[in-house]
This record gives sequence, structure tokens and C-alpha cells, in this order.
Amino acid sequence: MQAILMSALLSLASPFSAREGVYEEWRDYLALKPAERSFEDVGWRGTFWSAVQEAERQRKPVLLWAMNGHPLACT
Amino acid sequence: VKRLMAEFVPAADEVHSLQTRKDPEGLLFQKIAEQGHYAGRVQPTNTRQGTYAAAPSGVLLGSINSNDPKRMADMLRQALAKWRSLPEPDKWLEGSLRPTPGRPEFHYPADGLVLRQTVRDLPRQNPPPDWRGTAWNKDYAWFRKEEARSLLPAELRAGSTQDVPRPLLVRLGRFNLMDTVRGQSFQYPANAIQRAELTARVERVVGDRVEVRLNGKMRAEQTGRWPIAGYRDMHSPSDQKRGYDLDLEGEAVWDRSKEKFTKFELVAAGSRWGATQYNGRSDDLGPAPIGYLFQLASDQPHDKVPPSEFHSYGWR
Repeated sequence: MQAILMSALLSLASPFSAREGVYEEWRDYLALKPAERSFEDVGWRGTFWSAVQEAERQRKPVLLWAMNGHPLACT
Repeated sequence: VKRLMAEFVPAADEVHSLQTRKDPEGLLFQKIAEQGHYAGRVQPTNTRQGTYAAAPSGVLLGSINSNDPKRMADMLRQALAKWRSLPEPDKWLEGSLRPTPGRPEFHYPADGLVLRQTVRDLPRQNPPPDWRGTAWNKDYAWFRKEEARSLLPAELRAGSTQDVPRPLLVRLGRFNLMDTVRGQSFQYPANAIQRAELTARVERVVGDRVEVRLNGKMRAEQTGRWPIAGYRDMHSPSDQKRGYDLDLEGEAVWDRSKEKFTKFELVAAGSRWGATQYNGRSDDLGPAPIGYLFQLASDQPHDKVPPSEFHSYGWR
């Protein structure tokens, strides 16, 4: 039902002009949900070199996720 | 997979930079990648995307380019077995790997404004029944301290207003308001930005707390020739146009004593059209609804990733 209502709002001249509270509804719709943020729990280091340095200190191997576009941002 | 990953130090990084740079960090990655799943590959592209398990020395333990949990777990198990059997001297670097000068991370504006951007399709008729129906992506926007302050009126009293400087809006419009819901895209040229308006109005001042409303409009359109279907038309670009028409609304709180935003939320909602080579829209040219949310990023490592188009910021 919420999706139908929001879809109808989009047909207006401005997606924010229908009534009070629409901005907050869009904000909440767009925000990442807890399940979508679960990758953050892994504790990713944001650079390869920092992980290699830390792996040497912790005496562990490195696991590198490397993609076109940073995997923790736009990929 | 998470249990197995605890045996490693996990990192995420941008592969094109790693596979082309000639500094020690790039060369170490290239040593690893050329033992891995895409070693030597040049067609359809030379990308070395994937997940690599490796000793700090550069000895490959395992690699894969898949998001299938079972295949990933199998790779991690095999990698750990190889790690345990590796002679100790073969595990470690000779000397230490130093931070690479010039990496954009060193420009992180700790005293400025760091926004995390989320982008999704807004509700629409008959969304695709697969992953595309719920796809989202993220990116970042960075502002230096003086840029952050320039978003506000010089005089911070209720009722005062400020038009956000056009160069900052153009940067946002070119580098952040791309359609990346389903994949990657490329920045808009400056002359594609047809409308860039955002006004900050001080609503209330209580002590050091300055409450601000934001509203504005952004519109862009670019025409030209480029491929839109990944590898399929990469050698046969065709006439295309892409663009967006968005309304902006937001709320922010500026702390006068800290000289920082303690809250920043900006929604951009409206329509987008067109496609680019790797953004998965070749069968969805629109116009169709899209929305962006910009919020304060945390100070955790996963939120300190540079904007994807940072290389065009011009920061020195």
C-alpha cells in the first residue's frame, strides 16, 4: 500500500509537494535498511595497503575484495 | 563465510587502480592477481575483479569472482589450508608495505563534511521481478571545511538564506547524481548541468545549534554516442541521451562551536532517463523515478571511501 501511495505521489508536479511528511517518507524509503548494511559488520579495511600492514602485525593472511569501483562505495 | 573470514584481515579496494599502478601496493596486487582466476586475461576486458586470499608476501592462497556463498566458503577453506602449509618465510613481505602517496584517502576531509549517498529506484509500475527490482547503490560526497561552511548563510539567524554555491552543486550533479542503481556509470560533463539550485534557510537558532532547511532543483541532460549494453555493444556505440530532473529537500543542523554539521539529510527525488555502458539500463531507458539520499557518514573505515569521481574534484 505504501509503495502504491508513493508511486502516486511521484505523478505530482513535485514529489515533495503533496502534503507534510512526504520528505520523511522518501528519506526513510531511500535509507539503507539494517540487512543492507550487514556487510559493514565484516570490518573491511578500505585500502589494500592498510590490510597488508595489519596482516603482518596479526600474522594472518589477507582477504581482498577488489572490484571496478570501490566495493564499499559505488561498484 | 563470516566465520572463515575471521581468519583473514579483510580489505576492499578499487581494482582498476590496483592493477595499473606501478607503486609497491599496485605491484603487490598485480603479483597476486596474475596467479588468480583472471591471470593473463585481456578479453572481453582485462579486469582483475574478484576476491583474493593471499599471504602478505604476495603468494596467492585462493581466488574467485563470485558472490555465491558456497563457492566462496570453499575457496576460503582451501586458502586457509594452503596458508597453514606455507613455509613461514614465504608468508611475509621483506620490509613493510608503506601507504601509497597520492591515494585519495589522504584527502579525507575530517574537519569538513562527508556524506554517504544511497540511490534507488522509487516505486514504479511492474518493477523487474529479479534483483533489479530492489537494487541500490551507494557513493560518497566530500566537502572541505570551507566548502561545508559555504552551504550556509554568512549570518546565522532565523530567516536568513543562502544559495549554495553553484560549483559545489555542479560537482554534486556531475559526480553523484548519475544513475548507478544497477551498476556503474560515468560522470556528466559540466555543460550537461542545466539547472543547479539549492537554497539553505535558517529555521531556528538555539544556542550553538543552527537548524536549516534545504530545497532546490537539479536537472541535467547529455547527448552523444556511447555503448549501453555492457560487452554486447562495446564496439558499436550508438546515439544516446541520458539525464535527470530532480527536486531536492533536506534538513541540517550546524553546530557553531564545533563548526561542523551534526546532522545533514538531503533527498533528491524525480526522474531519470537513458543508459550507460555498465549501468544495466539498456532495457529500461525511462523516464522512470529515482531517488537519492545524502546523509552524514560515520567515521568508520567502511565510510571513509573516497567518492567514485574524486579524481575529478581537483583537490591538491
